[in-house]
Amino acid sequence: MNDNNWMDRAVEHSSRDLASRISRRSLLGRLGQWMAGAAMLPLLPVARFAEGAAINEDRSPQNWNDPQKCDYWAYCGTNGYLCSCCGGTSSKCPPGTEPSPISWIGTCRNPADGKHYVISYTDCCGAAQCGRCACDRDEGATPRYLPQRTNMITWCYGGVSSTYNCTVSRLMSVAEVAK
Amino acid sequence: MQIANRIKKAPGQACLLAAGLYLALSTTSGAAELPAMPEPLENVVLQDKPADEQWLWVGDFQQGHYGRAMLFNAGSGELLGMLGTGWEGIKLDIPRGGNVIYNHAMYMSRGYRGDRTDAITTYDARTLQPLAELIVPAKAVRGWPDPNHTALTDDDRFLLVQFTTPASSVGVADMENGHYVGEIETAGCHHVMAAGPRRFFTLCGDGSALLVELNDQGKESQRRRYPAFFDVSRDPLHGSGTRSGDRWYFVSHLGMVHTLDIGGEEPRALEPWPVYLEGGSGRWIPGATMQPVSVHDSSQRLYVAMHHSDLEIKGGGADFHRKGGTEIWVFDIATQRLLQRLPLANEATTIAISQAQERPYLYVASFWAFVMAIMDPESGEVLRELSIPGVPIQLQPVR
Repeated sequence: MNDNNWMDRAVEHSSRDLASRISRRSLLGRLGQWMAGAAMLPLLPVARFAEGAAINEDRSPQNWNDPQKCDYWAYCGTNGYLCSCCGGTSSKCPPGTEPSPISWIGTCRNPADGKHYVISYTDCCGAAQCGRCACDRDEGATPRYLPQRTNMITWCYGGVSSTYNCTVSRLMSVAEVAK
Repeated sequence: MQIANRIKKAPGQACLLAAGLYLALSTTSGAAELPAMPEPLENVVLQDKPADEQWLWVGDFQQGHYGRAMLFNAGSGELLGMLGTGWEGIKLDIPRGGNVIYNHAMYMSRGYRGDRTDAITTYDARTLQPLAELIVPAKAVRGWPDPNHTALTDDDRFLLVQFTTPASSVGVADMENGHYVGEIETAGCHHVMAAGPRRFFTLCGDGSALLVELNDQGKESQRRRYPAFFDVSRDPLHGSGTRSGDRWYFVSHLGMVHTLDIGGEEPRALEPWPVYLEGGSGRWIPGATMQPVSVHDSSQRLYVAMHHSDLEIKGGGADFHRKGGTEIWVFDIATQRLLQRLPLANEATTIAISQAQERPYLYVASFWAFVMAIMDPESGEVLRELSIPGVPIQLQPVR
């Protein structure tokens, strides 16, 4: 029952946030894509946290297409270490870690085509923190009492180790955006 | 090194130099100044904090590894001692008696993997040695530490712990009798804040506050949901509020102060008031997401970490609420008037004011810069800067 309430609120606030920025038609389309994403993922939010030396190093908008840089377009909601600098890729966890089955989902705009994409932010767990390429973008990040988009919580849950290594940004689908 | 070089070049002179050096040391550090031998093998034991000193616990995130809390004498900068605080742990809960310190922490049996154990450890406040341990369900929220992830009830009997699995609940531990009481469901809400000897409240995702009353066994006896006192869609609150007496203070992303008075039978939300300032193609707003606000009790001054933003909404959404403070603004709570603006050398991520009535210190941690500044809140002068290489993330002035 509690989980249902929590999920209801998550959907409610996600919808409210989206509704303030996009049309009803595109909202439905986007929600459909979110649902598709949710089907591939066990649950909604997860996040990251953690920082370390050289936070946001080498920041430049010119790096928007470099997955090893914090300014890579699909990292727009990231707050943590980039797995692409830690033995993984932008979407795959490094060896020695476990991807958390629980993720949170946001959207980022790809400058290459101007489209928004649904991004699943997944923490890779079960090892010491990577400590490389700390990246603090936080676009769309919410406080913890709105957990669906918070990135202040380490959610290495769902059977994996509770410790955090790095974060990947998986592309889930295109998100239609209002004109 | 220089002496060694000289020895190689002039052995005769070196012998004379060594003899002179021995003679000089013998006469300047006489035997009377040496300790009794053999020296005993023992630890320093902390004494009660002298009334004229100001001490501070600095939560060191250790860059996300097993953390620690470091106790400093703020006046001298001396490091007095430290405690291990588990993985992503940090917060200390210090009962008013001052004899013990509680820390809730998470440990993995193989360091970063294996079985997870969550424990509340009671430390002796003078030796900093563990006295007792209470194992609690392994459900505590992890991530960026927050001062309101644990709380002691106002009579110090019950320690409350924010659980996230990711379903939200609050664990209750009876510290007087040394046992875990149980779990209170707080779905859709987060942070746990004391509101009396037998009650706490939490912020909820619809902008409301949930108040839970406890019985003498620490079980939930009553709960009430108070209507939304902030707008989560338009102007959410930073979750890290601070308390002064019977009032809890929160700042919103766009710069409003929201006050919850918990002194009466029913909590009362006071009229919000602004700390923001328009100008320069944008607005000055609160930042420093770890601890953006602090109150000096006796002067009733509110300290807020502020930064200027153009309020641009980026491709993935707003990010301006997560920027560090570039100035500390000081407000008189009674008149809601801005008294001072104190520029900072490093962006503030956590701030706290000490509670000394005369000449308190303003503490400003900048974890991107790995430093913590100790400032004079009147002049804004940086009196001392401490290097915290592991990431200073939480500040707890000792009362």
